[in-house]
Amino acid sequence: MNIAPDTWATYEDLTFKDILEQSTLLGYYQKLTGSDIIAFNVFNFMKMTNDERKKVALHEMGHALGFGHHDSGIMRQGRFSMTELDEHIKEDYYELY
Amino acid sequence: MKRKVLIFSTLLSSIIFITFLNQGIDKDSVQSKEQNIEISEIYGDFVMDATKKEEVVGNSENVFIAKVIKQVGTQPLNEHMPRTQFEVEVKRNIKGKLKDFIIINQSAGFMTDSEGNVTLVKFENQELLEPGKTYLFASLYDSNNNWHNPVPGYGEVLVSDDTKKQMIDEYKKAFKAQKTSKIMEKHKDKDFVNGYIDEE
Ligand SMILES: [Zn+2]
Repeated sequence: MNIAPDTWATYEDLTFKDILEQSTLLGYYQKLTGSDIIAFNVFNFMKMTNDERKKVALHEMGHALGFGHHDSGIMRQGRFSMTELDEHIKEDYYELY
Repeated sequence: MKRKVLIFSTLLSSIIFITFLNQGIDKDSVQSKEQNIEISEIYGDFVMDATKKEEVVGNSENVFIAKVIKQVGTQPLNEHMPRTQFEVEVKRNIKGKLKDFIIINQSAGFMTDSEGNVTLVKFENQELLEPGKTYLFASLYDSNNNWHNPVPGYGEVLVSDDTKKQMIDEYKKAFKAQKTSKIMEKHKDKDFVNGYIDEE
């Protein structure tokens, strides 16, 4: 994802989309030449609590910023209790930015 | 509705926050060197820990070994999300029961933009299925399209003659110890205990 404050008003960096597919997918991050995409799978989002949705949204934002998966915390794949930023992602954040 | 507004405002405030903190990071778009095809990788997240076989099996309706016969379609999910459909021959059922020839809808494929640029969209490093090769699939049945959606990457594993027997044993064992996510259990029309059985 390219975050450019001087052009943010005219250039879209990230687009949010809904998909509907009968699969185990909750959401994904897609890197494209134009605007990157974060998509959420409505098939499963319909069945989720607000906290679970929030966690997935934060997690995908993490990918958009360049974070990979961790064994713990918000960047852990497939776990739902976390809704706040954890130490791992904070460390990564300071390292990357 | 309230929830949607809440999610949206959370995201919006994160974006604003991040925008202010950053001075601009160079885009490193991935370019394939051999061909002039751009590759767009998908980083997907699942209702489960997809690295654990008991969870992949527990959240799938069918787990089976099949040989890819041929590509039969390129019906996309949306404008950014190509899909490729393959006819496969079921060789062995591990969970659920599928007969003979079925369609696998892979989360990968080519898309062409208005300027004619071709992009291969794929799940991380998972390659497009290859006719003639045999895979272990873990999938959900999509009754609207009458095809099967495998778990990207983790539910489309290449099988060789050397690894076949061991893989069948591992997934049979995983079926016995299967774990289904609470989210998937809410899809009441699906049977995750026994899997999808094609009666016809
Ligand atoms: Zn992820």
